[in-house]
Amino acid sequence: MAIITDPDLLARSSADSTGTPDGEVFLNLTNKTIELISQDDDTGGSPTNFSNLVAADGVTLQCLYSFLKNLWKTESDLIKYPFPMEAITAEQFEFINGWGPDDTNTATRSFIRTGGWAEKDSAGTVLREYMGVITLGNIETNHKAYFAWDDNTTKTDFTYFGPVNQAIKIYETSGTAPSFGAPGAITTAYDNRAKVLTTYIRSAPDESPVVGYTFGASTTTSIGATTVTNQVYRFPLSEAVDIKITENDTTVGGSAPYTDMNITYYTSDQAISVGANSYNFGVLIDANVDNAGDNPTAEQIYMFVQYQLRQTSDIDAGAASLFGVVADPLLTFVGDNLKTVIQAEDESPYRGVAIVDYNNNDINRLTFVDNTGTERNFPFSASVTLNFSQTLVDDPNSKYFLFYTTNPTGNYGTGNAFYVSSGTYDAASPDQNIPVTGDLHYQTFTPTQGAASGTSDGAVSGKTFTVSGAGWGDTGSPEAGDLDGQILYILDGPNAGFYTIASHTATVITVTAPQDFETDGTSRSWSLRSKNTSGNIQFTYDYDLNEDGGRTKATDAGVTLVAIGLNNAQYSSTTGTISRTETQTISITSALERNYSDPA
Amino acid sequence: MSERQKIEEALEYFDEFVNTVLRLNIEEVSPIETVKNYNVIRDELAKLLVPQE
Repeated sequence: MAIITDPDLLARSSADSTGTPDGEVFLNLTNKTIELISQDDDTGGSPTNFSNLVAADGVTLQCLYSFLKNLWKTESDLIKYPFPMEAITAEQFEFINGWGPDDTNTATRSFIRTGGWAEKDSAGTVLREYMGVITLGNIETNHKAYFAWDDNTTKTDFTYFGPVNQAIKIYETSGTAPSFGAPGAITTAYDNRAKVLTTYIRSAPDESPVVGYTFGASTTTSIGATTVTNQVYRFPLSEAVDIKITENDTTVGGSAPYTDMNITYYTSDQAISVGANSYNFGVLIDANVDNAGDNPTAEQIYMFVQYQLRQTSDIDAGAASLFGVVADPLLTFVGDNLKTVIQAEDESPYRGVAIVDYNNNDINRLTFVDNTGTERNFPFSASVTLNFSQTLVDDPNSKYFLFYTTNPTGNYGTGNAFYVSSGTYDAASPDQNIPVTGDLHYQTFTPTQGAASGTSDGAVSGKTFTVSGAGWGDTGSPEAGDLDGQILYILDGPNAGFYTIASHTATVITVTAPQDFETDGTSRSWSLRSKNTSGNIQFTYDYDLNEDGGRTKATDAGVTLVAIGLNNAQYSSTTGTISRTETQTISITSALERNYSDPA
Repeated sequence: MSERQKIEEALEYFDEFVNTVLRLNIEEVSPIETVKNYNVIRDELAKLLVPQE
């Protein structure tokens, strides 16, 4: 059954809901109450299931008014009484002449839809006023919205699930109680007509599978109402699936890292560094309170905060008290970027929000709003991957060099060509910055057994390299930790360079090379390196701060990547651009080397 | 169909229309502005629909 809008679907009951009702509307002519009787109230009815009224669906106030008019016109006992209602508009009514909705036997007022009303006594004095609240937008049918007035410390749930169409009390006079309806004697006047009402939807994630939902809120101020009266107000209030929520409340509420985070609302400026500068904030989200272990990801911090904002308890780790359900949103994801949300201006001047103990890998996607309302970003750091072709991967001697294509100090192709530097840019000591150049096979290899390096203890002969007492294990087929396929690096002498290991014994390495080692009567230093089978070299580029060679920081960098091998890969170069992008790749391909020769 | 019925049908249509638009989360459509203005129109139309004695 949908909302009842047709008075033909209503019938007058001869008894109230405590007796044997036989219609949806009972009129108590003694107390002058109008009692709506829903299907949930018809247990004593005769016959049962007589009612068309479903509590959650309700009946429009206009329909009730129209039904009463029909009754007053046709029922001889009723016309003897003053008519109970007056219409102001189709959505604004008054119960007059001492009539009013009953909510002693049934929750009559909660059954009324699309209407606001006043309740007046026989002298015309307004006893109560109700505003109608209708939400527009998506709310799941198993989720319940709630509301709070601006002086409330916690929430009040709307009665029914799904989109809201319900009246809430905005005024109640003091003095003697009217003859109708609960509560009894009114001792405290209730007047919220000049207060701000906020409607919220903040639904808990489904437990399994976990499906989270975005938050929504709107206020009477936002919809243009500075005061409220006995009419209907429509509020935009929507929720949608929140793909950033991947844990349920059981996990977030009771396990690490969520149990080691908190939120503190300060009443003074809190200086927090964002990159090289410091800014003032009023709300701090500490993502790793005990500073032990890894700092959580942006998504984990977000899930913690959203969980806190659904709690009917104090979420402020500081001295003050703030219930989560009425606290302002603190975080929002825009794509994969997590931004803090400035708090309402009328609540505190310390309304900027920052995160501390965040994961450093996330700094490119964190934005904090400070107390002035200004967004603060960390200097952007781009992750760059250099990708090398298989010819270079298969050449143990491959080296790479990354230059600026153009640079104030010198362009590529000149003697002053300038290396691109990696990591955090040191503007105070530019010569300390680390250039992007090196061996493709750069990582140390640690065998499962035996030495990984030696000093002046390696002797060459033919294609073999002998280290007495090296103690390498596993002389069979290659296994994890085995030397086969890895790289031997001879540090000095006529054979200094890199060699692919073909096989080995406990003390002798045989290399893959087109020619034998140069004759060398001296024992040499050596070490083992892992073959870089992925062909990738990764580094971070301090995009917003890098001033290599006097270049302009925070601008795209045109670069030239040079690679060269010996026996397997020819010299090659390629150009690319490092832009303000989280991850980017520059690939280079070298032709197979067929003509390099260095006879023993 | 009476003028009153036409207005009632139009209101029913726009109730659903506004609801649908808000559910779509269209970037160019502000839910607050939409509903704020829709409230004004609804209030004025509601006055036209005062049930007649």
